[in-house]
Amino acid sequence: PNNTASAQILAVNTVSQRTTAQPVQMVLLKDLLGRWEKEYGVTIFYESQLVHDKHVLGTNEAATLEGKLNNVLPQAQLAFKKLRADYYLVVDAQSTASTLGSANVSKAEDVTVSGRVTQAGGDPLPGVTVVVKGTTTGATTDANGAFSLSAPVGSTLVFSFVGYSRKEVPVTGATTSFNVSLAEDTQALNEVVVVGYGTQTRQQLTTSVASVGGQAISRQTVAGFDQALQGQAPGVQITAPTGSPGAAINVRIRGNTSVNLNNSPLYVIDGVPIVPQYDREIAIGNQTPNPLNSINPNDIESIDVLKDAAAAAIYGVRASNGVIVITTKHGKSGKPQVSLSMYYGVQQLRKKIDLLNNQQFAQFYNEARTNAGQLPAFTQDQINSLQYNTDWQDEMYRTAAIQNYQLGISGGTDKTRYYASGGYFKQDGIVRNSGFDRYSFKLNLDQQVSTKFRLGTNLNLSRSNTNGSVRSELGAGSSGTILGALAQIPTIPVRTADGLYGQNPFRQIDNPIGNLLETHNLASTDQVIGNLYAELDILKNLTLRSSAGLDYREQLENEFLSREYPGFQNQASSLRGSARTGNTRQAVWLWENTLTYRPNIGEGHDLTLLAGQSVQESDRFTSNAQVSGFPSNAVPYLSAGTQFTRPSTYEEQWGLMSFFGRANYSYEDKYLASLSLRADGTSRFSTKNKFGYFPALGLGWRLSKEEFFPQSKTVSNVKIRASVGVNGNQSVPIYGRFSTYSTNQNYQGSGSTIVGGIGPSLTVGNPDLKWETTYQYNGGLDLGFLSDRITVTFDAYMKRTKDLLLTVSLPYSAGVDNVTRNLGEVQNKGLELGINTQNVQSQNNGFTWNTSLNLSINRNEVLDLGTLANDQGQQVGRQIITNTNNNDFAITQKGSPLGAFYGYVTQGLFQSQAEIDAANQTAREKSGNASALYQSGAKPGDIRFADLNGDGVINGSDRKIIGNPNPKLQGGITNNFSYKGVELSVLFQGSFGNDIYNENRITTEGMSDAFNQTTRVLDRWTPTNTNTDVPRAVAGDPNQNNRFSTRFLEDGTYVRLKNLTLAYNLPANLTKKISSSNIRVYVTGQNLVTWTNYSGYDPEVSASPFAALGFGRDFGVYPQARTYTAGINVSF
Amino acid sequence: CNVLDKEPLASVVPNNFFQNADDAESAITSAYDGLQMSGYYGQDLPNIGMMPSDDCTSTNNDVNALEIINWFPTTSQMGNAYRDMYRAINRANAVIKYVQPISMPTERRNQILGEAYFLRALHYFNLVRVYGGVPLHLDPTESADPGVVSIARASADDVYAQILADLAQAENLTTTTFGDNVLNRARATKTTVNALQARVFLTRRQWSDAQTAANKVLSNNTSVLATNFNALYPPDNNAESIFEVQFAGNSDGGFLLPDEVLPNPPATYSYAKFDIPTLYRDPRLAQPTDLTFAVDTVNDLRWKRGAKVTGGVSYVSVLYAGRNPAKQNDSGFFIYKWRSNPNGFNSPDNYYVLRLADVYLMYAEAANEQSGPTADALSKLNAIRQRAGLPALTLAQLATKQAFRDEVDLQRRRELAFEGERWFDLVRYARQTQADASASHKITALDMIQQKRNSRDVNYLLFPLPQSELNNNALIQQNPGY
Repeated sequence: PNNTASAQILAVNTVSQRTTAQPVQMVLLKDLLGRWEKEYGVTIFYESQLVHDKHVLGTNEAATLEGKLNNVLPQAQLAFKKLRADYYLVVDAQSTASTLGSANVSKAEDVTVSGRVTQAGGDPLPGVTVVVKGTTTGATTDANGAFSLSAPVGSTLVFSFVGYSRKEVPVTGATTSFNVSLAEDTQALNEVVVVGYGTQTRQQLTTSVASVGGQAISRQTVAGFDQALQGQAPGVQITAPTGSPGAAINVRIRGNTSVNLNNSPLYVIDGVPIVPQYDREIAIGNQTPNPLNSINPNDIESIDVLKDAAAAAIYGVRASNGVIVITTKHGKSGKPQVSLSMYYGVQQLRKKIDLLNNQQFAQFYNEARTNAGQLPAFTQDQINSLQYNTDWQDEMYRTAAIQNYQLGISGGTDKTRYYASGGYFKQDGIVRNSGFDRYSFKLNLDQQVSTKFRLGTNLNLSRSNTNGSVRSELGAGSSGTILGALAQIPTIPVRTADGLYGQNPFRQIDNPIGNLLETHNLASTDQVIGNLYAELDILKNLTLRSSAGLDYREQLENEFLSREYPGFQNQASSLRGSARTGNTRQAVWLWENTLTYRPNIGEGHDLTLLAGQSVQESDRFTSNAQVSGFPSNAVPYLSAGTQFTRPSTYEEQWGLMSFFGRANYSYEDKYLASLSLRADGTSRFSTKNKFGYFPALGLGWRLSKEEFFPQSKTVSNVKIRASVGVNGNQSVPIYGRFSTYSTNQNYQGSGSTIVGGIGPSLTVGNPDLKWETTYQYNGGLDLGFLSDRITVTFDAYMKRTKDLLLTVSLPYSAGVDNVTRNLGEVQNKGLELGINTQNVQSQNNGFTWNTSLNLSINRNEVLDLGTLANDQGQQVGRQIITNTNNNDFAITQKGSPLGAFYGYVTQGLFQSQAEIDAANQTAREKSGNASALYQSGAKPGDIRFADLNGDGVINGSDRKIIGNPNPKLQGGITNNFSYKGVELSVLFQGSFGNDIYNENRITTEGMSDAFNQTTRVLDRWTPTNTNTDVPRAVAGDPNQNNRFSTRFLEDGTYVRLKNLTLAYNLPANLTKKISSSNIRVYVTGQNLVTWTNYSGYDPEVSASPFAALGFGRDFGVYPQARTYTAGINVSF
Repeated sequence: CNVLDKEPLASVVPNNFFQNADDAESAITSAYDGLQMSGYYGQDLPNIGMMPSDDCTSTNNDVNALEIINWFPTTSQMGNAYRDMYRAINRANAVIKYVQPISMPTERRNQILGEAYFLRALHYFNLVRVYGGVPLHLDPTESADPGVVSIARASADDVYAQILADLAQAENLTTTTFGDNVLNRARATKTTVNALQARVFLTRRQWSDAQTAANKVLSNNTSVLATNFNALYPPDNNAESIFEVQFAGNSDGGFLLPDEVLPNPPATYSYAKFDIPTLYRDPRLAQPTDLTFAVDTVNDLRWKRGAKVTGGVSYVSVLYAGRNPAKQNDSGFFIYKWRSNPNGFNSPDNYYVLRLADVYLMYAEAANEQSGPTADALSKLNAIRQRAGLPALTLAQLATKQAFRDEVDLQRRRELAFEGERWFDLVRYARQTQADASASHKITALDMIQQKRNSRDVNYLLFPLPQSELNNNALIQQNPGY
């Protein structure tokens, strides 16, 4: 690829030199104008049909640009108009004869019109073109959005700007307050879409790319932009698996493609592909920190989601899950603009779970023990005089603050543009002793060194601090805080009279409040994501870009469990207190070089060629150490402890070397094609599978541009798209191809010393490993109606992922746990619909109403998982069973979706011993085993499980797929209303038809142990309360009532009022008094109302957030908050 | 090129390993470390050998299924024990395969190989006792080919044949003694191998072979009976010991059992313990077979309160009604055999796998089963009785094979309580009666199954294979009844 690229450079150079060496010959006017643009650093704007392929005699006579233009343009019956110092408009000489020179000779009927152009929100819009309709008279707005020009009364002013809806306003007379607000036009055909190593306009796209503007992101009061994407784009499924501040968000584009690897999209921030997930050295629970939180959402200009394979293929072996391209804000030339924004709000628990009070608990627990043949725990006297009635939820949750402050400055000159901002975001958790804060600093700088050479940097710096002291996703008996607060019994106090934390006398389960308050788990992450680039225009249409990027993270974690931590309560004083520290440093370097070439291949043809090369290398070093036995809480540092645990260090590296190329072609904006290829070499695979090749092709046809297509405003745009491409997924364990021996298999084998042991590790290496390959076919339709007031984007896709990298569990008897293997195939098929409508439009700040709706349907199916020989020697399909806390709950097998819920089916309760005896009798008859039982351990009041295989006995074979964690449909709808500076934005978002395994209920409705229970168990079966589906209480659960069955499966459907924002933009005459250009005040509610039948805290939940299998399970998950905020944005 | 060539940094690739004597030592250390895993001697195997028996009870849900003999393929101990024993086998197999060609002093190499054979035999013996016939893996698993990783079950006889073959190898290769008291208990010597042979033969009811093997141990003076029973605890490589799993507390943790059987303190946590079934605690639930009724708390030094230990008014393997009746979890009767301060489940005490008193009783049992009571057999039995402060019995008092058998059974139970053998003894007794109806024992595993499940279902003499093995190995078949 390198050689080809150089050859092109040479060839083009030769051609170019020939044209400039003989200036007196006829040359293409287009070329000449282009050359002068560069030479003088100006914009010369013309409509292409005017210049077309006209040739002129070049000139060297005139010294100035205007002189040259005056020499050349008349040859083609053209003239020019200077709109401002660096902006020239080429016009038809005839039609402009009357107005040419009008700047000098003012006509009697002309009046001076001046005013200001703003965008929604009141911010000034610089650079807007204002033209008197049908003439070349025009102006552009300055940094404050102000313009002034002369126009005849009765004429019409046309306001247009890239990315905004064009607007026409009649001139009725001289005025100085000609104020116009342009609406952002996200579906505009000329919207610029960042497609990776370049941009395209939306009308040129042949692939499926969803774009979300910065405003829709910054409106939401959340820590990271990924969370704010929820409900905003078709085909993009966002779930906040937990409400824990700062925790990572689960993002899926067009379903899960992989059984075992990362299903997160690749994020490219200002051109730097970043590592999507971070591991923590000493994390408690399942939560991982979110690298995306290092980006302040307010600094984002736009987000483009590359959904289909053809769009994503330019990112090759990492693109299987789609690519999310984030572009941050850049300065615009003009005077400095300072903006200040801040908000403050409160967050609350959405709902409490109803639990038993002290007497109800005592009665239940006595009953559970008695039914198990144990003695009651409480006497009736004790029940009558219980001292405590602790509501652990009230103790655990609080109303918490959320606040955000940001100061930014942007602006620039012709040569230098800058955007700088500093922000502070702080979110306290609704669970005590939890929270997240972030200091962010952003600098984007673009410098034009000469007309051919540009330099710049995009820099994101941040420090984020996470208080991760909450032990979420853990069982009550494993110190889980959230589940602990539900399960801890009400009959004990938070603290006893002597100040110690109350203990459950029946069951070892931490006091959840003590557990939380005596834990101090703080992680601080410093992160730099950015690059430094240089761009050289080798030729007018050949640009070389070289960029050095960095994704650097330094993470320091410290945990201190104080001497009062409940887990130490029973330990010798000398052993209490413990501290851990973990440090991670990861540097990912990137060096990329691209060549972009736009050769002139004739009228109507537009071709852009891209060739590039990229090298990326990562080094991650971690260390951690642990000490316990602290004499005092006063010095919570490791040096104060007395008992040392083995410290450890670890290091790993990976590398990626890539070559890529792309051709985008269009003919008269009617026929569109895009072809790309990327070759990725990766260190994770052995020599024979080092390089993968990922081609893609996209085609588009703008039917509405055809002559035969009836030109009307009713149907204003019709485009048909089709694409096919290949993507990869390489996120295997970095050293997965190696069989390794592990250290630390130590033993005190010779006297009192501990000797180091090295032995086989638990995985078998696979030298044949290669990437997963996703083939995706996409068909799309873009429609515009009523002059594009209604735009519709529809996509249908089929995605097949082959060679799944599967961590295959090996039989325990092999002595190793698993091997990673390329095996099997998964398919995602889906439909996506996006509709944007401008329901009501009006001028001069009247009532406007826009709606944007998106709906996505994805169907996920395993096509193949390989086979295994069964005991009859037959090949049968592989099943992957996922379990949690020793409970199987999900299965992955051919013909089913990934991670389908798998369990028993309940069939009511056994009401009598006679019923059980009858079932046992049948079991004996069917099995021929005289001692067979239908369900061993069953007593009246226990659940009867359905005998699905009809063998008379309930065992593992009586399970089936009972639910699906994948939604059948999801979507979002945003309505924006505005009237005279008042704006209302309402976002609803929902998920339909997904099931949730509410594993919490094993603890809180299981009735088998000394845990508090939900009030649902008040309806439990007793000999006198038989008309119920809640089984009897019995300690130890001999019938396994709590095995995973339809009992704990719930419908996860919900609709949520995700965001409601009411804003008021102060009138300009008011803001001017305090020399501000814009003031906006607003109130926002996040997660205001949720409609769902789900019985847990929140239906948006996943206890294993990043597992490809086993998602959709609720177990001790930190609940989501409901947030109310008020804020103000001021700019000067 | 360098960007694409990244070798693991923090672990070893096997090609670079097994180069010299140091590597052989590291590998055998790793093989011993396998004994510490929580599914193995660290926790689950002792519980499997203890909870279903008449010696132990608990209201703790973690072991409830084990105790009430209501176990399933998904019961956690079933999976953990099976998994961890096979992991240990894989480590032993790596030593057997790779240490042989290493250039190093022959004697040292033979010793290391002998230890690996011994360990493999021990692991398979534990597996076959718990699950019956199991897949025989004799090479380290280095490929995931189905032919390598998915193997059908060998018959129990084949597994025993392999165990005995490995033990014969081990007996040839190991040294007689390290000459170091600790090493002789921490690492396998000929004595260790012979003691395990005795236990294997006893389980197979090969009485003569069992007696021969036991006699090798007895006639070798590497181990001698401690004079004071109390001094045996906590296990710390004392003179009577033959083989112990070495635990080192926090610095090399993994021994979870003590925290589970001791009251708090010295245990770290207070919760329902695995303790002795007791009349006093819950009279309604007491069974006549309970350990409470089988011990003599007046004369038997093993069951009288012994010396006070740190952390509480608590004693050796002594019935002791807990000191704080208000703390329900920590009242009752407890075993104090591992009584050093555990720290967060990391007890520094060792765990007996084999000790000399066991071999004395095995010798007595094997001799009696062959030819009835003899003075020789009685002397071994009396040695154990007298050490416990009980009077020596005469042949007149134990005139019949049955009487002698009952006395051996009783002394085994009192002597080895909570040391992980009771359930396997009860199963052994049941098997003996199955094979020969005249050879009856007072209590067998079938009595416990009857007591807890209300049927004498022989299927419960074996535990179910874990669900995970069934899910991933299509060639495996579950034990009958599960």
